Amino acid sequence: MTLKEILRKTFDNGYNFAFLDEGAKREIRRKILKAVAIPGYQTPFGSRELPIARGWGTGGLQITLSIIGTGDTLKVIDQGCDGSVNAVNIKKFIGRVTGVKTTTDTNKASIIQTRHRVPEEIMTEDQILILQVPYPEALRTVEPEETETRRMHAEADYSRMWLYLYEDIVRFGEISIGARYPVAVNGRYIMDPSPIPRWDIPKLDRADTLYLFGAGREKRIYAVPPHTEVKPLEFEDYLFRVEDFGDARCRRCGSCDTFLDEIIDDETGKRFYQCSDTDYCDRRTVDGTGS
Amino acid sequence: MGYVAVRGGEDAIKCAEKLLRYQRLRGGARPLTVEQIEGQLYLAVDRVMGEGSLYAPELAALAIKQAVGDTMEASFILRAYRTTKQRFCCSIPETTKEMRIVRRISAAFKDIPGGQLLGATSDYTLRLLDFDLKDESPQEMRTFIRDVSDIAREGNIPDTFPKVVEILRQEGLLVERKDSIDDRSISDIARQSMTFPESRSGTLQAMARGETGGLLLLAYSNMRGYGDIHPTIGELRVGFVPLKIIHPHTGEPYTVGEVRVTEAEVIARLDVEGETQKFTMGYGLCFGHNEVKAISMAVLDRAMQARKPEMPSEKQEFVLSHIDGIESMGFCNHYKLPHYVTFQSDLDRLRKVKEIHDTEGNLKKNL
Amino acid sequence: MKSGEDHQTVSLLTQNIFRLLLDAISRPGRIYEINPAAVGEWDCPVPGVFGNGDSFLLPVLMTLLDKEVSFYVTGNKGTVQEMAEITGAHASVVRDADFVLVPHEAKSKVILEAKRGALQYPDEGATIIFCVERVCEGIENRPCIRLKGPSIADMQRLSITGIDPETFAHLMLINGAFPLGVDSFFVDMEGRVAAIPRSTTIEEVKEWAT
Repeated sequence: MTLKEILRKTFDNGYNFAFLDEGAKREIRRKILKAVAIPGYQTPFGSRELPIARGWGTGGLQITLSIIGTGDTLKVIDQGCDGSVNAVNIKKFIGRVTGVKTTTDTNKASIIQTRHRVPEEIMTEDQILILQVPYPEALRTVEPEETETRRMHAEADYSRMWLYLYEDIVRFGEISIGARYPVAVNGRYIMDPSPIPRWDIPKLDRADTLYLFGAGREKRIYAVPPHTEVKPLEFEDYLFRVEDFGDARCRRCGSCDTFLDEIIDDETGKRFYQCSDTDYCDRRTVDGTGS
Repeated sequence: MGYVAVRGGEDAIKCAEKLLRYQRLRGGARPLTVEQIEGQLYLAVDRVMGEGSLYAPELAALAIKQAVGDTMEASFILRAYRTTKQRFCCSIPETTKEMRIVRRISAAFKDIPGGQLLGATSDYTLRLLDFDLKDESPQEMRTFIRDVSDIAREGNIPDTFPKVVEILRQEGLLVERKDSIDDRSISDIARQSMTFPESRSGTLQAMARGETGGLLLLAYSNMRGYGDIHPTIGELRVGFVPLKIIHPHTGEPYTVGEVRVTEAEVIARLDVEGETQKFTMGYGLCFGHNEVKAISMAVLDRAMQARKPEMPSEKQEFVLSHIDGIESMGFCNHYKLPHYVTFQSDLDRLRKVKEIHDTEGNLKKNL
Repeated sequence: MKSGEDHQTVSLLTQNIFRLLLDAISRPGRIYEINPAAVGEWDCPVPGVFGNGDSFLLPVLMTLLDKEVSFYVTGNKGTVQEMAEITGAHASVVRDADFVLVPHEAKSKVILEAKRGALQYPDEGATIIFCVERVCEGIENRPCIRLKGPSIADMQRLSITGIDPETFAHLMLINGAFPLGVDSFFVDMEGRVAAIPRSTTIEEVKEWAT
């Protein structure tokens, strides 16, 4: 398709390229630049309503729509899966209002929008990962009021967060936080990495890729720029640990170094495992690198 | 295998959409026209326009039809449509002094300048199911309209009414708000994220597009006792206000249409230290005819002036963060999306904690 | 009023420029080039904002500025009215400006007064756009600055000519109390762009050639 054709096609739908009006995009873009300049800081933005419901990825979607261009190739995943209903829905919508190429191949995508996972494949500096965020405030667990959490961030007063972790250890003998594990960015801001599993946290640290986080309902954008330190909160004697799958392997590709979904077989009731990143698993299966 | 089988969801989405339409049409009743909704379910239309924050009766009616009668969903559709529209200009700020009134009451005074005007209301009607409505015929409708044309004629209603609260203001009995709105700095919550403390214009905007039920809940909690506002309705008006803009060529004010609104001014007492006792006012205004919303908004506006906010309805951040129906509905529904990755992650922690617990238990047993 | 198609073309061009600015601020000190063909298509009302040689500035301004923001231009007052008309942004005093523009060769001392944001809202700090003669990758032992900090793998050298040599000392001072500070873009005459966000530490200024 030529540029003119793409333009005509999207404009004929009655909507602007990438759906959002230019004013909205400019505002979101300005806020993205600020978010990148202040790693881990939650930048407020005038979140727009979209034809997709609040809480269903509208923050991530507004970032994607504001940065995407005709030269991009888009991938959208939910729970690591390209075929998940919500991912398909979002991808279809972006495709319709931009005409961009879409893919399921992590390596071929220039923009990946995701919910709850970071792809297994190590991403490059030519790619951007956009994470959908339900709760942008990592401190919300210990303080419900925004005015107060803002003060805590302003003064880097994180004592209550540390106390929370300490009490958790006293009660459970381990830090019991599963997903949404709080991290410190660049030694300054405590940040909610979105509900990704702990497995994905190390991938944020000093990566080649730019990570952008969008919370549509809570109207916040934040970022982890490339080569920026991201450290999970931990104590010397109680270290952060990723999920432990024991000696489980993916039933399809045989992988034992990926995040696995635990599945209960309908008929036998037996438990088995499968890669959560379906694209990674598919390619390993086709390559024959699986067992 | 539940969610895993959801791959290839495109077909599933298409079928779900078809089924939804099928569900609406399967009964075989004659299709509902948008005109019927706009004309005969106008309170639903008004509510959707308010919560969708777009004054467009026909589009709101269409949204109600599309949402199969769910006003929250309809407001969401309308709000999503609104965001795609370019803003040409801002209207000129208007007082409601020039309002073309169709209903106007005051609970504060028995007689008010201009008089009480009951207008169209079901307030004093016995709420008995009206079985006659089951078989309303066009012939009957025409006869009825002809018979009541005298009552409905607006000819004997004055063009404008004086404001009831003006009486108190002139007497110096009303506390003047320090945070009244400056025309030059009206915030726009559709374009800037709210920050707390939010400006008065931002606060009123957020409430004007808030969900009726949400506003009512919070206002009710205050009236009932989780708070201390005992409101008196100084004045409640329903009517039409002109929408004026600056004409782009002449530079003169130009009326482009009129908007139906409901306005409530509630009065509550306030002790002022070192001064005489005065009244304070809470203000509510919303699109369309929606009295519950306007009154709730006014009560909350007053409640949030509390000097030491303690109750939920007195805390600005609490109120403004939870009244948007489109946001709360979306977030509530999002829990239907798969969460198996986070669940797996939690499962891992739970098993680990249990393992530690069991090991410790065994150790103690062996001691 | 622009036709639909023109409007859409502008939409794609600003997207293009924005991505370049995003790359630049994500990787401080690295050079990114605006495609001249892209600017050629621009229905540009004035050839340069501050005169000839800064034809790449306008697309950058169109990408970032609109009626929601304010700007300040150091020195060159003649262009303020024009800029307001083109972008829709309103002129303000430097203390309140969301964007501060420093024309080619202009003294940059005034940026010391620019907004640095509040601790609660550091994003309110200004964005400074410098028009310069040339930005290029710094070479060791040549006049250049060394940048360190998040977003930089090890260390990044950057060389800029046609800029007030005091600029970097000013920026070091302004950005000394992270997260407060300003974020800077440098746009050169041939469309090369580099950025120094507030998170970046300017480590060393080698004797600067003026």
